[in-house]
Amino acid sequence: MRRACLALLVPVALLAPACSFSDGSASAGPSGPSPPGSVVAAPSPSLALRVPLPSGFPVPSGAEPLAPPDDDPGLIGRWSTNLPGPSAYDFYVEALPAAGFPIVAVYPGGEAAVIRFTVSGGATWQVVMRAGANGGVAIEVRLDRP
Amino acid sequence: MTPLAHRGSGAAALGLALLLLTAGTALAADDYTLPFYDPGVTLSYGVDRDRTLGRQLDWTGHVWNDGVPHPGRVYDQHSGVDYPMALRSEVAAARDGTVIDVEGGYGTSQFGNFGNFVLLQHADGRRTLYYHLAGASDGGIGVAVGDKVVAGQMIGRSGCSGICYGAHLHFEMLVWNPGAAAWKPADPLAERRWTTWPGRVPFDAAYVRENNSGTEVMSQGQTITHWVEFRNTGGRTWRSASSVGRIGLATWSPAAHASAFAASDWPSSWVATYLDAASVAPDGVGRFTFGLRGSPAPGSYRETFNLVSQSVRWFDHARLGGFYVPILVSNLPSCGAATSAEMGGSVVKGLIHPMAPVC
Repeated sequence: MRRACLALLVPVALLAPACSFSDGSASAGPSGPSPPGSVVAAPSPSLALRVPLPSGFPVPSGAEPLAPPDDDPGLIGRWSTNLPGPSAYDFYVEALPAAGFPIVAVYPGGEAAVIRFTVSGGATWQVVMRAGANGGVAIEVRLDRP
Repeated sequence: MTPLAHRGSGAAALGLALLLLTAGTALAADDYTLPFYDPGVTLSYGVDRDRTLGRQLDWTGHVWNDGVPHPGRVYDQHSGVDYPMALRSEVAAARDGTVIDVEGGYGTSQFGNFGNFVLLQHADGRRTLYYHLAGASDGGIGVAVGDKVVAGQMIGRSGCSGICYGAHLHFEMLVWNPGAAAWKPADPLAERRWTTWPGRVPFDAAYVRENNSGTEVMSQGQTITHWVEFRNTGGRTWRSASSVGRIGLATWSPAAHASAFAASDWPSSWVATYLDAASVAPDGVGRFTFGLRGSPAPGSYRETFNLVSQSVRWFDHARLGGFYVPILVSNLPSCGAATSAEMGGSVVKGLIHPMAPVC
């Protein structure tokens, strides 16, 4: 049975292992009512509910995809790259409109930058670039947020 | 003290302790203005006033507990205010001060732990840092250690040197923390340190009106009086006292050209007049009264004028509406009305001089 998973506003570490997307196979969580006093596992966002990356979305050459964390449903994709920060930023300033994703606003910065852009249908998303491990840049594509 | 810590961009490199928060202070006439000239620039990120990793207190007072960048607000551990601007945009001193340190040896877009900067000391005891500047060989540094600068003076050009994700100016305000025996970042937005709220570029004006917005008609040799009013939409108070920075109305297109219409009351061949009033604060309206003498041969002319902060900065002429005075020098003699010569050879400021009817 497919289990709907919702994020709860509690530290994940305090909870039993989160349930995972199920297409009918056994899930990780309990299948019956919880005994009184026990902590209910915090279900995590189903991978099927995560917004897919549009076809043709630009990603710098050589960027390594990273698994998005379960507790961030707004995150659409993420990568690490050895590109220096300004190169990653310049890449997206050029590549986004060229790929059909008009830029709404740019927010360059010291150790972080955000570019807001629109996707088909008019929704606004963000590319977030931050200093990553080993001197590279961590790139995230996510739903728009303050 | 040389800001060696600032040769590494970002709070992590600076290794700052907890910020000292001050209560919001009243806006002061001689306080700070924005460190650039384009009023269209808005900030990317402000200061993170909470030095706990992953927790951010932005300039509005909002607390974020996620450690991620928030456009227009903050990113984690940020020690200054980031303003997006194209490479080599002009950077202005936020307040009168003295240059105490500069670095211009890195490339304009050279990525690395260190970047180019100018550091100023101010009379209120604070310092301001202008970071990620263009290289010195690229015009990035416009001042030298020891130079006295005035508010609004150009001190360099922006770049993307150091740890910089996209061209911008990192502006940092520093206060001495005696307890830590170190300079610590302050938040100019949270403290309302600008001369106005929100902060403004130093010099800006908007056309209001003039005594004759049509063609000024004069005979050869005749002098008429013209006045024009502009609203001070910038952050610095306009002053007319004789000093660096006094606000004047001068010829434009080309800048500072000797005018064929200079009257006897002009301070120079290209400065028509200085501000009539002693001072005009931001949002106030200043009048500029000056004579125009029909010296050239009869014909139609246009004399263009712009505001200038003497020895500091020309205003953006386009934002003044491209101000100019259309002039018709008539070949007919003037008759009846007083000319400047009949009034004793001087133009009385503030008095609307009747136009000489052509008869």
